Amino acid sequence: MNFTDENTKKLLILAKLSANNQEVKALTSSCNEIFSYMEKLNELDVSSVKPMQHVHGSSNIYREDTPIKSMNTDLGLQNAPNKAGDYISVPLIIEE
Amino acid sequence: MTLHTKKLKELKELISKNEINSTELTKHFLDRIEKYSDINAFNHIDQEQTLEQTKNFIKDKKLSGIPVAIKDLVLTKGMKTTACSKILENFIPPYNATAMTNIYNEGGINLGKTNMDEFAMGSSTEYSHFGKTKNPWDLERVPGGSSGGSAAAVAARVATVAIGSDTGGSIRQPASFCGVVGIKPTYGRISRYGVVAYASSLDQLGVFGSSVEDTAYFLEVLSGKDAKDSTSVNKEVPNFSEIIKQGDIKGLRVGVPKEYFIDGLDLEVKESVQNALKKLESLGAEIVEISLPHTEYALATYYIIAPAEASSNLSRYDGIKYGYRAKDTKNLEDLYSRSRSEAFGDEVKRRIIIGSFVLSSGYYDAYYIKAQKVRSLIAKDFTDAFKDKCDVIACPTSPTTAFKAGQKTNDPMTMYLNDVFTIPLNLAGLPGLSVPCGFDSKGLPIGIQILGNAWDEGTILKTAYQLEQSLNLDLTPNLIKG
Amino acid sequence: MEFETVIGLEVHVQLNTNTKIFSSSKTTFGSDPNKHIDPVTLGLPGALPVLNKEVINKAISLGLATNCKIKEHNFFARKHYFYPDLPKGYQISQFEDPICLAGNIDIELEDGTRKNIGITRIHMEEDAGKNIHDQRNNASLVDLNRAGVPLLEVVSEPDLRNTEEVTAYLKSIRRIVRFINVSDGNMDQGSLRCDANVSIRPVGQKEFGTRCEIKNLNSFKFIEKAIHYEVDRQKKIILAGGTITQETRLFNSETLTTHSMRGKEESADYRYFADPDLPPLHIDKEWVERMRKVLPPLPQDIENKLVADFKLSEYDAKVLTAEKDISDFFAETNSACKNPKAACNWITSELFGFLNKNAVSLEDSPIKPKELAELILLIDNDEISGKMAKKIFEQMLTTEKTPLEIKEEKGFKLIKDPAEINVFIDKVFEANTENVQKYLDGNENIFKFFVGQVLKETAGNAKPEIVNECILEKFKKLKKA
Repeated sequence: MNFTDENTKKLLILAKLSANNQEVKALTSSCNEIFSYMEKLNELDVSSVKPMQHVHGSSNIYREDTPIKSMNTDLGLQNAPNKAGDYISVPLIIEE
Repeated sequence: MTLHTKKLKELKELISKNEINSTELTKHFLDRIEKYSDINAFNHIDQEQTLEQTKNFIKDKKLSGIPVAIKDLVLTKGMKTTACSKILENFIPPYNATAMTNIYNEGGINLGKTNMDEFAMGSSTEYSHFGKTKNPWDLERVPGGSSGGSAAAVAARVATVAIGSDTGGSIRQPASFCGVVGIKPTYGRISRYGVVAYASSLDQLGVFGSSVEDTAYFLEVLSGKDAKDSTSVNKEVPNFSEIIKQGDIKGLRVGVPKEYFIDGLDLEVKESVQNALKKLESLGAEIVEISLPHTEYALATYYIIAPAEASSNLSRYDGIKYGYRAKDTKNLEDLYSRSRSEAFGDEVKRRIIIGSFVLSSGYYDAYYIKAQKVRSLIAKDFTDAFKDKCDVIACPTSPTTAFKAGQKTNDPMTMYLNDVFTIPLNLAGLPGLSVPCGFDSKGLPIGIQILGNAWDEGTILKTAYQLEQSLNLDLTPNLIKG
Repeated sequence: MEFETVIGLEVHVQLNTNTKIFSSSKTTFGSDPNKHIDPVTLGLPGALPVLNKEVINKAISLGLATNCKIKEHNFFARKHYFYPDLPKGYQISQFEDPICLAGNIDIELEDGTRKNIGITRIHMEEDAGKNIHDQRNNASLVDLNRAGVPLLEVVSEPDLRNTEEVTAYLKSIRRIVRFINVSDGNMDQGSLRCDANVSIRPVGQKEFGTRCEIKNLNSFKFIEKAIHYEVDRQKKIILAGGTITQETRLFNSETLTTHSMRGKEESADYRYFADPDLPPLHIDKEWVERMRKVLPPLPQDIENKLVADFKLSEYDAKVLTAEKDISDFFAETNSACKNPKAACNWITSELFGFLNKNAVSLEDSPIKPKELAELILLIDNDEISGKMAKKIFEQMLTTEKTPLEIKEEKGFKLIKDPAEINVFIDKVFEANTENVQKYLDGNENIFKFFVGQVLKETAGNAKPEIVNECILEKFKKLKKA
């Protein structure tokens, strides 16, 4: 497929990244090269193959509904860039 | 003082007999790290915390009093863990990874955090936010990546053993470049809880050692089922360090995949690997040619799946709850995109974009699902081979020896091609190691991979041990001689 | 042009498990901010989810209670979007292969008609945290206590046609989840939330119109208002020749209008893929059967039984099955006294009268089922009169004493000995000779007067049937004479 700047820009928005024009072009260019290489996979007929979504066939891993002591609030939030009391503070979210 | 040449079991003896104490031993390594700081193997050292641990460790355990180096994506409570990214440059974890808890339960000491490619995305450790690591064999060359710091630390003997992680070869390739042993165990053998995630279905922690014995011994400490990691598997942990010495490898069928001996494989590497195979034969092993027919599709498969999972795992770095937050942001949108853009490196951004693309609607089936299907085929190649053709597989670790710094950073594909021989194993979730098997004409180390069936780390370690003992290479870089 | 409204509901049921779906922190509501946190809740680097088995059990229970098929092979998927209350930047949910499929429930409308509403699917997912908007300080405050609390999302078929049906459906779901103990179903506290998919089409048209999803509906009243507003809005557009844009709209509870959530379109690509951190879930027939065995009786079934077996009125049956604790209270009382009509009456009028007036919950009721049954048995065994019972009841509300103890204390005894009653009858006859004659002359209606007077004389403490018999006897004797 032909990967364009349009593709790159849409993905930047999805991934919450920003880039200037030069950076967009650089990204488009490397992505194009990489996706061209991936065309290789089209050589294979995988129509009857199951995707390997989980390794080693484990299943049914779960735990009992028993509470454990929570992490101390100060400890848990010690890396928060901005706090207000025990809340994490972010710029006001405006729901348009 | 040759404490840094002693094996783990010897050090354990010396400490338990009080012939040396942990503080002396650890200071010895800290001094050596300082002496060879030019290598930049370590990203973060906290002398105070480390020395404090030497006074408080649990006695009479496997690692009592012995310092080990930790790749900086393993969370160490109270000590900075950055994954060598600006986005976590001041992050102090409030909890320990299970691997660290295992180390502490066995009396081990945290020597410090080693350098790596940012978020484990790279093959040369040139993408670290904290500067690159140099290969102790030639300071102008890369140590490999992404666990370059750990590999270099062991190669320079500034640590006896080190933890690394391997998603597409990030332990085996640097082990090969640095002339040390590096093992990636079966997926699910070591807990991923507390390990900064890159690609969840491929990541595994593993071990670097200057000998197969030390590598095997440290692997015992880290392994085991963890209730906090739903993908860790309940398998008994054998005494690997003892298994390697039991018996010989007579009759062992060593499969050699023809797809790994291709153009692009450096001739000296090829020759060295072939010599090693001959050595194995002389030890009684049977060399068998096998085919892993889907090998050529592994790279494309990996570079769809790994970035997809990475783009997802890195969504949590949003500047909200921890990590870098851009200053003076106008609103929430601005906070998100500026924090992430200012603090992620270029390679990370590139993989996030690739990953977001292959998961996005309209492309998901053609890329991600297709890649997962090809992955099934690649995994089947291995299980078919192990079913009735061979007991282990041997092949080169890397197409080349250590390349010069800056040589491959201009073009992503060139960098990605480094991993052609290591990636297939990750896709299959199987165990594999690299053990030094020779040098090229420049004196740079060459590694051979020994790959095994699921949970069969014992056999591959034993094979590597036999080879190592037989080759008896001098694996001390000139830099640290004398 | 006449339009028909088509509504489908997505109801989020917050489960009442002890711990979150993927970590062992508590799910307690109303705690101080960021009290129930752990690496998984915070989305810290290296954190990994571990599934809570009880969530699966409750999902299966709800599936069985709504006639769904339980899917054998399940897995979890990651749903990606950025928001401060979503710490990982993705929500773990189920996209393909939800745990329950193709169910249905009955709803009952005001006029008594029943309608069956299809349930497309039920799936498990995690809740997000909460954002509180602090306008004054130009900041939003994030509390992650709720992040990771387990949810079951119940998606209905677009079978609802008006707000009455919507309310009936929600009430039905609410009653079920409370009865089978999977959730508090409390809209005020957010343990039952709903989004509505609303569209309109010309009457008679087979194809559905374009729908809009309305979010932020947190009370029955607001759901009604939001749907009415939205239907009007859509009608206006279509009548003016326009087309409806498929979008998500937010309901504003102050202006009672809906408005488009701008920017949601671009970020609507959730990039779902199977979560590699969570192995798949296989639910075999044995597991489903185990859950079926322990599933409590469903409210609609209990309601039907109360009418069919106990001959209670439909109205009474509804009252007694409005909440599980009421149903349990009734069942316990009736099981001890074996008089469903009496149990029903005492509970719904006397007891509820007291509880409502004094704002006391049934749980805190000073009278327990066993005691109420005892009281009813005293009446049924002809030991006390109805009037005496009421007095005893009043005492029971304020003391710990048993009905029997109070009866003894007060010296209550039902007057049922004809000899005793005849003394009263004689007194009444003597004071009302004219009326005695009237009866003897053929005025049968006046009989009631005598019954009334005798009962008055006995302060209502005589057994009416015996009074009746004795008065009849007396008149018979007089006639003979």
